[in-house]
Amino acid sequence: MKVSIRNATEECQLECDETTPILHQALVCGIELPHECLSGTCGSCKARLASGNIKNLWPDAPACSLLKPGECLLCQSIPLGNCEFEIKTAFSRTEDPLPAYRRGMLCNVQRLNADVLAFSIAFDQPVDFLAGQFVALSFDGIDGMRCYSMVNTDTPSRTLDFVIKRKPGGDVSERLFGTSAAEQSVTCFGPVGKAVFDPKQAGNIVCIAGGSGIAGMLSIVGRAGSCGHLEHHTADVFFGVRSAADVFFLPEWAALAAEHPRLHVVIALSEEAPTDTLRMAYPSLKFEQGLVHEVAARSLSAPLVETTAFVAGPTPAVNAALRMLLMQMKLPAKLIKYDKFA
Amino acid sequence: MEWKSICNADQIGAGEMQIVEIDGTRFLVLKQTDDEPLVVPPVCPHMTMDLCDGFFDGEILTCAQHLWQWSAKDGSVHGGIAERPLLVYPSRKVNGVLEIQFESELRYGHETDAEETP
Repeated sequence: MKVSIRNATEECQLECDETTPILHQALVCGIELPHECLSGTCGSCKARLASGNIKNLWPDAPACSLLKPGECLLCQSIPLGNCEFEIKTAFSRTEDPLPAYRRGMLCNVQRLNADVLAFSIAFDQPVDFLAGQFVALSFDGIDGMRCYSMVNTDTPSRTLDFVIKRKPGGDVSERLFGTSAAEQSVTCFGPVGKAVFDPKQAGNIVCIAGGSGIAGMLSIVGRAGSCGHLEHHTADVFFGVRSAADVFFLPEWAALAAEHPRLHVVIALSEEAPTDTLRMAYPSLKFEQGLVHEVAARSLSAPLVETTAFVAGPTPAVNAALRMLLMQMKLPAKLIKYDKFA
Repeated sequence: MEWKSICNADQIGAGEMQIVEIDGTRFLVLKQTDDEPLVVPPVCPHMTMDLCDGFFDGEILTCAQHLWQWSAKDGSVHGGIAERPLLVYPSRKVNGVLEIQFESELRYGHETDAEETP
């Protein structure tokens, strides 16, 4: 089936099948249509159907409530014959590695604390991705896809590692935290995401993450360490959680900090003072009390120069970090990298 | 085109921004560091995000969603991410009252199917 998508100045043509959403097919072909979540939540991929018919994969997708008559989400739309769409925003070419659909097996499900799990997906063939990218996963029997950042440092890899925070009532969360987390097959679309580490452009690195947003930071800083970037540049990582019971990945960060003298990792506890026990267990890490953006603002010196900042986590934490980086640290917006896929 | 009073000029401090609603139409008033006002529609020309959720440092307005940025002098693109300037209501101060030239609400193309008001 032929699908054409145009905006005021350009047009692209796609050959689509009856199973792949139009947005995903465009990305597979290297056409970067507007998107963020790939999964019906953000509404960035909304388009007007100018001709033809589509099937909406998920009429109850959160972003469907934002649509006007005649509009659809390209991430949830399968063409039923030739179709034409109009969008209002620009599109460009996707850079390598191009995303693809793959089947993999869930494995290595491991509790990191009461509310956070690590899990992996194993594939037959290695998957290439850039540090900081994410994929959308679809678990059999659960509607829709959900996005997770890769934790891995090494690429390509036959196993992709992720973390998930417990969400009461969430279907994927209940399955992984419940007893049914035995081996099962998973559909994976990706990699995607522009908040990636580029050693040629990054300069010094600042990472500000709340909760499970730390996943991609481990990939970024791990890659920066393994490629020699941290021999000449600093990395300041600020990891915010509520309390000592909510921390995870501290052994991984402690090992990286011990190996790279220019890496400084600060754990910010928002709801309690860090204990001496915690400090003694991880002497290569720093612990402070406060919201993660406040702790970062106290540690960093304005203005930040020759620095790329990566931000991830819950929306309030991300917005507070963006505000601090722009207003207090005077960091140019184009040097701030984040993907709002939640 | 008529001049329409929208608020007292000094109700918004220098370097601050505020939403003003008149007859059901919302305006975003940006007061630059030198106290000069800029009046714009309160939505991002990219994807209709509410610009009052953005960041304003007295000179540059940043949308919180994709960090598009504009100068508060004239709504022009700043910083190399934004692809479109802000639409701007011509404004003036008369006896301490901020007035704008208003015929109809300025809207970006993505809000309606109509072409943009220049």
